[in-house]
Amino acid sequence: MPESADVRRASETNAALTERFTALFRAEYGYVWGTLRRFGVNARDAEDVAHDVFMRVYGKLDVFDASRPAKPWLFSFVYRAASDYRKAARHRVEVMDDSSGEAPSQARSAEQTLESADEARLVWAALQAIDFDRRTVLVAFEMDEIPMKVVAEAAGIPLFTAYSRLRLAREDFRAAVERLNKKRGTS
Amino acid sequence: MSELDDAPPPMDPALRAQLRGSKTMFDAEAGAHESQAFERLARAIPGLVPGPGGDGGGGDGGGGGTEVPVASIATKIAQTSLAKLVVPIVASALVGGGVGAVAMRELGPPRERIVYVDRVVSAPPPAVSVAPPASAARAMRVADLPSVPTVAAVPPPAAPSALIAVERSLLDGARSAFATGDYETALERLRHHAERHPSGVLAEEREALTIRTLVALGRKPEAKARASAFASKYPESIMRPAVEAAIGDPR
Repeated sequence: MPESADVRRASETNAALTERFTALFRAEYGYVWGTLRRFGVNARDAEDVAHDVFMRVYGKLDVFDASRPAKPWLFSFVYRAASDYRKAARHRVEVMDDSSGEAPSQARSAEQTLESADEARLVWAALQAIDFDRRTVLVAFEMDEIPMKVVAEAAGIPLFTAYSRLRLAREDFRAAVERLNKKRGTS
Repeated sequence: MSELDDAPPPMDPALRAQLRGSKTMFDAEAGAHESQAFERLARAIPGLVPGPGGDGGGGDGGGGGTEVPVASIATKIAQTSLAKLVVPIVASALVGGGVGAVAMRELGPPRERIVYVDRVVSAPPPAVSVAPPASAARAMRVADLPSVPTVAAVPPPAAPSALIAVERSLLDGARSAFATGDYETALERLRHHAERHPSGVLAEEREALTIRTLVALGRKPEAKARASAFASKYPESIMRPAVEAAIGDPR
């Protein structure tokens, strides 16, 4: 018996959805992974947390306007996952400090120079010295250019509070970079 | 008032360049996990087909070219968390080592997973009675339940700051639901706030979020009517641009 029109439509809709999801995954997995890591998710947990993010993304993809940029929309999922991860991890381990974060993988492109690798490690160390609330705003707004309204909404804070955190985060980052540079200079 | 009115001056260019220069820091890590991550999603999402380059999206709900039928069936069954524990054991016992091993591989051992704890962002949470959202269906492990109780009897707030904290706690819950696209839950939590704090200090924020939630739910006529009332009541609101953008009426 041939499929009903409803079943055919449902199949086409599901096929279109999974196609959209696949494209989104391929385009943004790196962004999701990198942001989770910058927000404090350990390397050994990042795969699980990223999986949960994309499962939630899939669940809401049908209400996402594909004509809009994906990163700001994804940001809310990533932020939420990192925030919950941090709260769960806090029950088991001490608050992340300069030494507890893991250095990024050493596998890098051949073109990356030792100098830029050192710079990346310095930035990574500096970011880890900033608390979660400020670090997330700094990374999202300054690095990934997520609109501050989106950042504030995801964090559940007023816009002016988000900008306040940005100002403080910039100061923290500057201070951390200076401290680390001094340390490098004397080591 | 525009967003830029509250924006600080730009970041120091050298520091910003340094920050952005590290943007590819985790690319290699991500790349090392991407294929495996997509295959894992394909086991959980019907119709998602793993493969070279990940060109999936077939509508037949089948598995990839290398999957055997038993593993495909086991994969679908394994979408229930209980099945993840039971099916590998049953498959091994009934079907035999080889096929059972395939099922075990496909289903995988129960894994330690970080799960969402669906609760408000801000801390510390005040003692407040909150009706459980109707659409709350998050899989949670007991070990991951919050250590701070989130449900309690409501004491009469002793000071205005306590009242605001209670209001904010409720709105944070609505915002969290909105941020993750759970608009029905967001609306329910906003209604709860409106019932408890009809003229609360954060009524403006509540109304702005309600309008945006209604738009997200496709209830645009209702949202437009409320947006018009919002503009009259709060003409200088910093949330007005967001409200008007949501209803497609930027000014």
